[in-house]
Amino acid sequence: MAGRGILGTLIYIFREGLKGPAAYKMLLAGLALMAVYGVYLWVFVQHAPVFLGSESGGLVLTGVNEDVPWGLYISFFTFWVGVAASAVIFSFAAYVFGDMHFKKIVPLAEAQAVVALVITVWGIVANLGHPERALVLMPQLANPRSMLDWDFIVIFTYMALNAVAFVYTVHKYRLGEDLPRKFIVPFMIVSTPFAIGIHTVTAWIFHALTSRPALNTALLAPRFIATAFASGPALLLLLVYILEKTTGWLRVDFSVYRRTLNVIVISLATGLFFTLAEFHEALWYTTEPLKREQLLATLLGGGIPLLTTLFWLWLSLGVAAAILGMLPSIRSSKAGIAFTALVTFIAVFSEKTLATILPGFVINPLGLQASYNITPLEVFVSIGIHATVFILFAILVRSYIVTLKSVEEGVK
Amino acid sequence: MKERRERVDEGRRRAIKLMGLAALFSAIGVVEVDREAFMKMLKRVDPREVLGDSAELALSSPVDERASRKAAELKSLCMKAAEAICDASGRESPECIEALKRCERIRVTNEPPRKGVRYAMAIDVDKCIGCRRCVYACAMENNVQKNAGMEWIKVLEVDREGAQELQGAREDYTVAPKAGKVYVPVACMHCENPPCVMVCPVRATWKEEDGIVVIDYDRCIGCKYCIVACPYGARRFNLLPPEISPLELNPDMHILGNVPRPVHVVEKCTWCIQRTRRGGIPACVEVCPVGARSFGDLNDPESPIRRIIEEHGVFVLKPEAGTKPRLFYYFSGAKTERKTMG
Repeated sequence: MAGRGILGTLIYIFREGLKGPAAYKMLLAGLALMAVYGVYLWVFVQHAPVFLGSESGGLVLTGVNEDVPWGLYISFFTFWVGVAASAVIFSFAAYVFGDMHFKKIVPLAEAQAVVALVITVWGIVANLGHPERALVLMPQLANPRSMLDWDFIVIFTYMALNAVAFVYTVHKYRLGEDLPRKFIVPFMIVSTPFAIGIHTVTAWIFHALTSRPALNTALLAPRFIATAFASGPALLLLLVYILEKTTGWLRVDFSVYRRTLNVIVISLATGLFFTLAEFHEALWYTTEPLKREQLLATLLGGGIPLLTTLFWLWLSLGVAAAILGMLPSIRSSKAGIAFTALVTFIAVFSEKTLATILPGFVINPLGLQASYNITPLEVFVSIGIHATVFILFAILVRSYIVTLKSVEEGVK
Repeated sequence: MKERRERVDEGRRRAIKLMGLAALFSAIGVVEVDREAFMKMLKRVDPREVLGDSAELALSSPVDERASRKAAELKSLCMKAAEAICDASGRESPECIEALKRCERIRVTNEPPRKGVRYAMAIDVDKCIGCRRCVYACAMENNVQKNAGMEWIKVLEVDREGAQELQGAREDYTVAPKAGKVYVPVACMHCENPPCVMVCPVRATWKEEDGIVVIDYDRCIGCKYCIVACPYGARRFNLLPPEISPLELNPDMHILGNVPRPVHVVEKCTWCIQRTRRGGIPACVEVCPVGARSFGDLNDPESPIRRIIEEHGVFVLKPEAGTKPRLFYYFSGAKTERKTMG
């Protein structure tokens, strides 16, 4: 048994997180393999001219070009920052609305927020030309007029808040105590604005640009938040469902599923409505000819066919998930709700990744058609980033589950 | 006798003192009355030209130091490449001599902005024939990497009538000039209110006093936010390690301008800062075969740019973006003859 202090808890989290049955260890090993390959590709191929001074390689190996300067990596940044923001829904339900059934899964939501933010930061770093310079220059927050600096502040603050909350919760549960009100009240007051803040500031990075009319809309931040509150809870519901199936002893109340589904469906419907409103504004009558062209290229296909595919996937699966979530036969079983969550996740994943940022690039500011072809290198580096972070996620989840088990056995 | 001599000396001394004072006052008077003309007369002297290398320690600023370090570094790199050329084609070959000459001449300066100058450029859309000679001259002058097909200037072919903004513009035309088309060269607009400067998270790009927007290539982290923010698509990114042959190298360099860029940084037009800061004009203006481009100082009433604004009136691209570009366009009415083709 590790020490009873916070440091002891940290050791405990990593020790318990790495233990487990053979299947779990296989999972970790598989993830580690992918992670090593992805990081290898990033350091020794994509960024070799920067890190190693070699004369080949560089970002030219990705699909990024001067018309589409932000590609797959930044799209993962937009998507996962939304997943991170939605952790606040669960802590709100448990600590502010006092729904006791939610208390069990709040630390899972916090762990999800932490790892999602690690992916976002890494996504930005993978897209940077000179990460080693950013390491020195970014913490200085040199330009307060740049939204990227503000995003740096809110992302790291929210990450720290959630990490502290997760570790502290595990710490208290491990000692057989409950979370004190003295912690919960300040935590909620501070973390709620930051949860909304991370996603709002991320949207503001894209929308405060006259050069990209398709993104230059005040509706972008609300649209981001709406779809974020669909994708984050959907992912967490899926996780809880898988944990229930695999552990065999974990039982989460059905009301948790039901209420989370309500949030998902309402957020999804709002997100779809915002998309509709956006397109109406651009296609009915707009003062920005470029915006109409960009959205038409998104809708009907232009230089980037993938964008059109993803966009229609979002529309069709989004509508499908919203309807599924309203059907009584689906709503009455955990499996049905988990399925709806899966469809929602795929729908929002298609929208929030490339289909959110690429409309701004598909026709460039000079009215020329852009092209963007994802390369295998980009995909493997992204997989590597995700695998690395999922190892951390698995460790956090497992350590919490083990703690929860000891708490529940203690109660019995 | 002795007394008299002393008195004379005294008189002389007084006269000299008075003359000195008078000269001082008149000098101050000249400066006060026409300070701007006086400032223009003064040219900054590079201490290195006067004192040689010993000036380095006493007078150099951090940027100067960086510039001289860069020059040494580039010289050795260039020499290595030149030696390879010499080994391949022989010591006496014209390529070898040319390469060595260019490497020898490498000089990286840090010329500061001239006081009281505000640059602007104007392009006569009626005259431009879309020949892209400016694109080529720019790439050669500014040591743009030759292995990625990068160009700082884009020339767009737009319909003379009926085009909304730049809708339907093309940059891949092969025959020009055509009737019914206008050719719009686009590069950095050196905006009064540049969005790229606003979004840079590390202040690696800024607007200098003479109106030139510059990039510090040693500070740029390569986040490409400025490329996303630029409404004119003027910024380029070094996606791969740049390659420039010593035979194509322009040895006259400015640390914020045409010094060869490292990999993964952003670059763009600097109005040939290495030329204009010494009173020259940009390469694209010099090379234009139809005289469509003019360049000058907005504060100088005699400059060509002022005459164009007063005589023809000018417009800018995307005024709604609120960027206040300093690259103007105008229709002079003096059309270059266009053949009816295509």
